[in-house]
Amino acid sequence: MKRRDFFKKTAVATVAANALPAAKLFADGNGDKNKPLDFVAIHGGEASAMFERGIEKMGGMSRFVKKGQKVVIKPNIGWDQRPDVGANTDPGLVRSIIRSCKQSGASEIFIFDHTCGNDWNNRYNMSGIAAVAKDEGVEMVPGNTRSFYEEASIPKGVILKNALVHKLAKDPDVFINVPVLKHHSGAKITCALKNYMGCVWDRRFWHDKGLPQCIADYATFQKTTLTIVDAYRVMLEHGPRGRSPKYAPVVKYQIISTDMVAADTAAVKIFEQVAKEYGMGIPYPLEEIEYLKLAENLGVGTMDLSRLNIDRIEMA
Amino acid sequence: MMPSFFKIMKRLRVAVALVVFCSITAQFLDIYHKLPKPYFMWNPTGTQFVPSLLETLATGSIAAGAAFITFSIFSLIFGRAYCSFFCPLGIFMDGIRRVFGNRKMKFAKAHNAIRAVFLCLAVACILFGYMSLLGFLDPYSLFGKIAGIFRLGTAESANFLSDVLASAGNYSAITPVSGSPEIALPAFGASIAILIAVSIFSALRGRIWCNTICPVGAFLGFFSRFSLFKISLDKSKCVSCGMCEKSCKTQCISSKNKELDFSRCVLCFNCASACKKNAITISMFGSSSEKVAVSRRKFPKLSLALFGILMASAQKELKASEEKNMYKNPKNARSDSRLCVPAGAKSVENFLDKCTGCQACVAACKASILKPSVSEWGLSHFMQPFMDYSAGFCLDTCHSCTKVCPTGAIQFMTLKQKTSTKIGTAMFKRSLCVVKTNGTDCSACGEHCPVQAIEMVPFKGRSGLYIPYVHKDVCIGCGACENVCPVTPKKAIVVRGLAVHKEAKPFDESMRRHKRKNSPGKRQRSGNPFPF
Repeated sequence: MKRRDFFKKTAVATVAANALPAAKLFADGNGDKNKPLDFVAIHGGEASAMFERGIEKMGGMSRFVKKGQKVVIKPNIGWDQRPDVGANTDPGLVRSIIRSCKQSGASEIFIFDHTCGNDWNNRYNMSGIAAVAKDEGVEMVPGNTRSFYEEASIPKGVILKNALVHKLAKDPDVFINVPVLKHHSGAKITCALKNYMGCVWDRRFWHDKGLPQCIADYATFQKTTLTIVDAYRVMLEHGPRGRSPKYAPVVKYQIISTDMVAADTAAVKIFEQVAKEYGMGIPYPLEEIEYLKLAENLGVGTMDLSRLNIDRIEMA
Repeated sequence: MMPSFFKIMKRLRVAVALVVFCSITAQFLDIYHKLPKPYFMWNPTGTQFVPSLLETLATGSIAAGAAFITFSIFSLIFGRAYCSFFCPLGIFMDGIRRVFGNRKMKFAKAHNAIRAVFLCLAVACILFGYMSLLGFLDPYSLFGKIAGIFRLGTAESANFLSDVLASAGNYSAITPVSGSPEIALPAFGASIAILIAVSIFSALRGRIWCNTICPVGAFLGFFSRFSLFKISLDKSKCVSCGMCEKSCKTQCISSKNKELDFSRCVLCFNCASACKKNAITISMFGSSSEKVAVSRRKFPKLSLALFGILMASAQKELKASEEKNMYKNPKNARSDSRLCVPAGAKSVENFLDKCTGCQACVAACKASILKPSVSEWGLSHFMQPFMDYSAGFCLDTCHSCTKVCPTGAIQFMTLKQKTSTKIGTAMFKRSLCVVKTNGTDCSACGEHCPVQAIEMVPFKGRSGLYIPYVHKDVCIGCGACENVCPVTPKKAIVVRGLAVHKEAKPFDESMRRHKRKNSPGKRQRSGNPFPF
């Protein structure tokens, strides 16, 4: 490289690097029309309708999925419960996501979760997501077989430095996290970051060595293109497994974000508000959800929503 | 008229045998649990002799003993139809014999003393409750153990193929099975030994097992000795050509003496098909046997090859079980050694007194937690299944074992009955729990509990931290908490099996130790839907 070229490039890079935070500063607050959004919260519609409005606001799925790319969708399919119990991601939302990925030209779409029991097949079926995948011609990949997991090192991990990670979660073109917001007896609230426990083989290690830190550690590793929080129903009590639809009122929220930590932060606030409104469950304050702060410290994302280009849509 | 009658009977025998064999085997090879599991009376295993006898003894129901009663009476009239038409082990032996080229047979003397000894042994097993031993005599239970290996082989092959296909990017053509199909090495070895023994016996000497060791064969043979109608040789037509003798897999025909030992005849009708002189006939009186010595033969090379293949797979199992033990050793992991039995068993005693270890429930278990035991129940209960909570937990969406058990060791229960039956109690050891030892959140047990028996209550050591509390009346003993507990080497929560099952209490919000400050009511909408 010539010296002159070097100076030129350095100068350009410096300007660009300085300009980026500045751009964010200007975009602070509510929706700069010129910049693509980082975060959209939607309220008041059906899960798929909210997604369609939200993703359009975000610049369409084609902003995230390019033609010919391999898309991996990671919903929460942990439990053998019907959709109305709110333990698993809404199958209708998953269908809309599949369709919009297809429209953007995704070459292959995969769905998987490491379910919380040996009978993964039954859980895929009961959640209603297997039927959706079959309809749409998308592959449901098993997540309960050791041989589907590969060793991966997590350089930024504090406790979790190595993990057996599902083949599909390693180096995906596009990885879409579709958690469901619900109460969790261990993590207090489970949403986007916690949903990634379904990407690894040995979850006992996480529970044993420190759940919040391991959740944050893994989030540093997992490439995430988009986080879509399903809060159409919010399970306020008896989470994460759930007991009956009674504990998961339909509150019609959804969050679409490029920042997992921000999505979780907003989700926790929604949970708090909904718990208070229904007088059900514990309205956990943000500080009690330990893994959020830990993830922010590791640079996964930000808990400060004012630093993002965000929009709110009321559909009701 | 007779030959065509016998030919029809032979075809009928083959057809019935195939249907019975395939439907029973299919239940064992149903690794994805796709087949319907009909309840006991309509299950193909309902046709089995010893299980139906045990079921009658267990339930007192005459209907349950239909197979036992029918075949016993039938053998007093026509002979041992069970052995050729319905016995899966016998049909399996016929298959092996066919594979090894239907070796030509010679008349052999009956081993009546040995038959009597094994029959007495089986009766003693039933009387004194040595069901594990009975499981090594009863032909259906023996077949179940053999089918167990085939199930293992099928499941492992499916897993292997799915792995190969997945590496090539195809995830759904063949999917891996739920849970781990592995069984303990000694149980695997015993099943292999049975398979080898049965194969060698049948390849060389046809149904010699059935007329020497099998107590059902001895029992029905004793009855058929007095059978009203018997197959015999028409001495006026017979020319002692030996065709029937060569075709007789039970070695009960002496062509030279024109005699047939009907107590050993399994009604296969091969002799009648082989006879060119129409000399095989049905008479009201049979003939007694005569003693003819049989020379020994070398084992066919094929059986050695089979042995080699089986040893290779045994080695794979050994490796797999070693790997498993590295991860978790149940002996070290369980501070309480009392095991659970499945809900339909009602009590540990009933289970161990009725189970012959046929492995039907092991094959049906969707969670793959029912495993043949080695010393878990004590060696005298070898291969009677136990619930291995290190391999998974009893699912509240499954009651397969209560449908398939043919002996009444696990009786039928609806899913609702099953999930409200308490088979054990979770015992929580606070001093071992990671919440206390590490001071971090866990609740692996709490999140998996299907009946809300584990409540997370505030931990006194630190605010914002919650520790499990077990509502013991609510706990059903499914083992989910024990399975997922991350603490090693000894789990902080283990399930202690109940000797006699009880009704569990459903969880009620009023039982909460950690009361909620707010009480559920109608939604009080706050103004802004977005609290951020």
